[in-house]
Amino acid sequence: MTLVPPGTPGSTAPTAGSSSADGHRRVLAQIDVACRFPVILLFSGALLWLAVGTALALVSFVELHAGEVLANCAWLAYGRVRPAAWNSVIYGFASQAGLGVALWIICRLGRVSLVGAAASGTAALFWNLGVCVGVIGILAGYSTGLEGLEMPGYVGPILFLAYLPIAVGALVTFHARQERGLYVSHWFLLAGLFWFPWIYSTAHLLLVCKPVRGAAQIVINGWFLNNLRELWLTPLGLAAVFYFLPKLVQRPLHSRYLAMFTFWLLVLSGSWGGLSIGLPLPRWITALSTAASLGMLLPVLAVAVNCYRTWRAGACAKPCSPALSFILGGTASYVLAGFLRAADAFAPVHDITRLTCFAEAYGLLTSFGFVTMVFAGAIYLVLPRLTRQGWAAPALVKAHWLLTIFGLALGTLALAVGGVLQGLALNDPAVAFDQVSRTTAPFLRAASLAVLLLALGHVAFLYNLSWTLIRWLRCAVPMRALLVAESEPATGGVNS
Amino acid sequence: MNRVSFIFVGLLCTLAVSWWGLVLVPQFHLGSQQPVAVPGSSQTYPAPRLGLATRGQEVYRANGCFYCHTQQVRATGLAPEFQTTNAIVRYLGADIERGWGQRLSVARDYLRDQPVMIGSRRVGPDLTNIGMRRPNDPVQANLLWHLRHLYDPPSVAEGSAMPAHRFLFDQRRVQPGQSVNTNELAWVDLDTRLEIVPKPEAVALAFYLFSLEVNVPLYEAPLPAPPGVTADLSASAAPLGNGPVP
Amino acid sequence: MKPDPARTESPGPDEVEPTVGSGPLPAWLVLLALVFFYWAQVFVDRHDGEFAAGVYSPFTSLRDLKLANRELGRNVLALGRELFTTKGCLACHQANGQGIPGQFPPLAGSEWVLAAEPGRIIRIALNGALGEIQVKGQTYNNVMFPLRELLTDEELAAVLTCIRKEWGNNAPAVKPERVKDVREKTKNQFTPWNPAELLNVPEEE
Repeated sequence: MTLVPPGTPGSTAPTAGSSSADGHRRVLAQIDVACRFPVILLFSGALLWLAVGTALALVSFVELHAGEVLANCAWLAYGRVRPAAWNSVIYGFASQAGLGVALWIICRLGRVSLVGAAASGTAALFWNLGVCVGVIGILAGYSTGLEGLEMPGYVGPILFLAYLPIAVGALVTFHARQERGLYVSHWFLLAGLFWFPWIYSTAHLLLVCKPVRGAAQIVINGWFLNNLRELWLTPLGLAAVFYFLPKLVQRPLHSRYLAMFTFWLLVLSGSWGGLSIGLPLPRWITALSTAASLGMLLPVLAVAVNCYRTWRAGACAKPCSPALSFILGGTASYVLAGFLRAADAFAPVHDITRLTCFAEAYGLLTSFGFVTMVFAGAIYLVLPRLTRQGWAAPALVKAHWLLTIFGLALGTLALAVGGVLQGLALNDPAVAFDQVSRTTAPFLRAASLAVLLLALGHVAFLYNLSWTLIRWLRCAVPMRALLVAESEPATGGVNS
Repeated sequence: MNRVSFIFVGLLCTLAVSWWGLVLVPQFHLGSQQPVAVPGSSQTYPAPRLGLATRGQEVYRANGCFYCHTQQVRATGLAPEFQTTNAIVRYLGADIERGWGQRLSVARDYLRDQPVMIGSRRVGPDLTNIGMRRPNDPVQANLLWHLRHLYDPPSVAEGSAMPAHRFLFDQRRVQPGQSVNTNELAWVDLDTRLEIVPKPEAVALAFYLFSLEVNVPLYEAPLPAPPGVTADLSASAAPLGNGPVP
Repeated sequence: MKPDPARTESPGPDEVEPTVGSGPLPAWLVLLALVFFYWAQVFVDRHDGEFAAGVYSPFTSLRDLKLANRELGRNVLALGRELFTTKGCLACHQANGQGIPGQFPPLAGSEWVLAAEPGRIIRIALNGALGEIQVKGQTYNNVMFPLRELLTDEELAAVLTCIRKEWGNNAPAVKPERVKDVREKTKNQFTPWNPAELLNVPEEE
């Protein structure tokens, strides 16, 4: 009796209790156990940096309206805390969580155990080391001065070398897959895994190691930042959405064609956007980039339609699992952030919102909304599979969700409205600058409150993870067993 | 989309095209720019910064000043009569009208900056021409203004939301009999009766800020003539330009 | 009620990997994409500044930039000289401003050019001249082409300023507002001036 291979449309599950069901379950369990070491390490590191990053972000927001508070502390000056927070969240949390989810998805979709799990796990440790050195370097005043690449120059090679074993392991595992068909998530994961080393090494070489002269730095910096968001974080996030959403509602993803449309338009417009009108650059650069930024609306709409149709076709009328709530919240954040970002690229709107805190509204929505919620949903689903235990505090999951939703809503609204008002005031030469500051201040206070809510949610998440892992480790799962999975045959298609 | 090679080739081509368009070509256009001669003088622009101002730029970088302050002046338009009647160029835009600059910022203004920190948020005012915002004050007064602003922003800029950067300063008790003006760039805080002495980083930063001004005419960004000047025939006519200097 | 996939500790018996359906691409999305690509093309074409490295917003082209660079006050003489050459003045009045004896009157030392107020030479420039004219004791009887539709106020002012300052002449500059004023006053004049009639018009007008 053969196992029903996943990926076959309309496949029906074997009835519970049959030996093929046991075999199927055993295969999946083996796959999960095999990738435990690197994935749990990546998730743990990610959540640690999420908590640190959100705490630093909170400090930075508070300093914007309560400037006296930390005046004597160089390490907590606004100009150091803000990039430290950003780098912690993007390189520390989002990249690691994304890689962990990517590894697990590739194994599961291919029905094959992870190749080189030990190497990936060690690499994860080095990634954390690199981010740690980088964030401390920023706080100590050794920032490079380039937005998105603030970590001191020597951190770049560490991250790059830590990235390679993980990516190579993922690609080798992908190559060794039992299921040869490509699922939608595969495209996005391939895009992300391929894109990151190219943009990171280019930016690092041309901006940090042998810097180009003058305004060429502005162009390459903007190119890197946009590609990092749209072609590293977004594909990882969308791969997770397209994997977990159909899985959780137990329906197929609505449309393959919409997914193709999303993929190619994301790749096209994501690689060109990011430089806005008004920058001191020759106007052809900003013209091309603005057109591409507006084009980002198309993949966002396609994702919205695809996910909405999938969700509505699902069995549950309301989300019946916390992971699904997070995935849906993350997708909604992605769509809303996409609209706000496209609006900001549109010239009449941009003339008002340029250089204001409006950009932080959709930045918040992308990093703490889309990326964080999607990966949180993924972690909430994946970790029990790896540890074969439930979460230690299920109530905290709901608390995390509520805090995140309220924090995001408040923060986005406050920063968006504040940004528009700030922009209107800046554009009126009769308004003195201190009046502009006074106009923005209440919105920044509201945003600080929002980040506080987010921080509490992330601390709850970290606490939940720590408690779960400690309980799991104490439940006498000897260290040996973590690596035992390596010696089990990597399989699919076990007959019984 | 079931073939990995197809996806890989597609990704490679897209990345290559975007890399060519937004990395390589801008590098050709902008990365090879050189300083140009200032018309009517023997200087080149932009001139290299003096040593203390260069160190000040490093302090600016280390403390992330560009997260709140921009260094980019934008002109949103040209005066309406420019297109139709060859009137003298006049720039429109809130930045120009606020007095943050006489002309738009262009790539050549950033040639000597390493790294280029144009900023992306205006929590504080634009700093492109901050060095010439107080033209009536002597040099020492200007530097002192910047130092006092760093130490306690609301004391010199009413309603300022800028966080204080007191870690850039030392506070010393005034010794009895000591002249408080041993250091020209220090002052006494009247509330605490302590002498505030800037650290070398603060002095360097003040020199850097004082050096920031870019109101030099360029081919790609000519300075507007003062109002009322039309057919003024001072000096000999400058030669007609043939195009931007590469 | 199906088991909650998030709460189970191990893969359930019905845990399958996700699949993708073949729902259609919505027509409105395709239409939107096509509209977007068309718009993007038009937008880039309008705002690309001819892909030149020196064109920054708000300038739209290299021509704009050239105009901006020649319009500063101290460039008026150079502009006037260039127009004198390119708009055909040089062909008749010659590069040395001496004209051709018997045919075209000189500009150097001409009492018409050196008049304190430029009202008459602005009129000649705008509408041309036809008939006998006395310049420096010589009589000329020829036709001059009107420049009303060929030069803007600024350009006319520049050329007239140029002829009033070249070849040893030194008369006050001509302002574009003066030219505009005269242009307005003579807007119903459709024929070239007869110099004899022009002498009846006070030069301050």
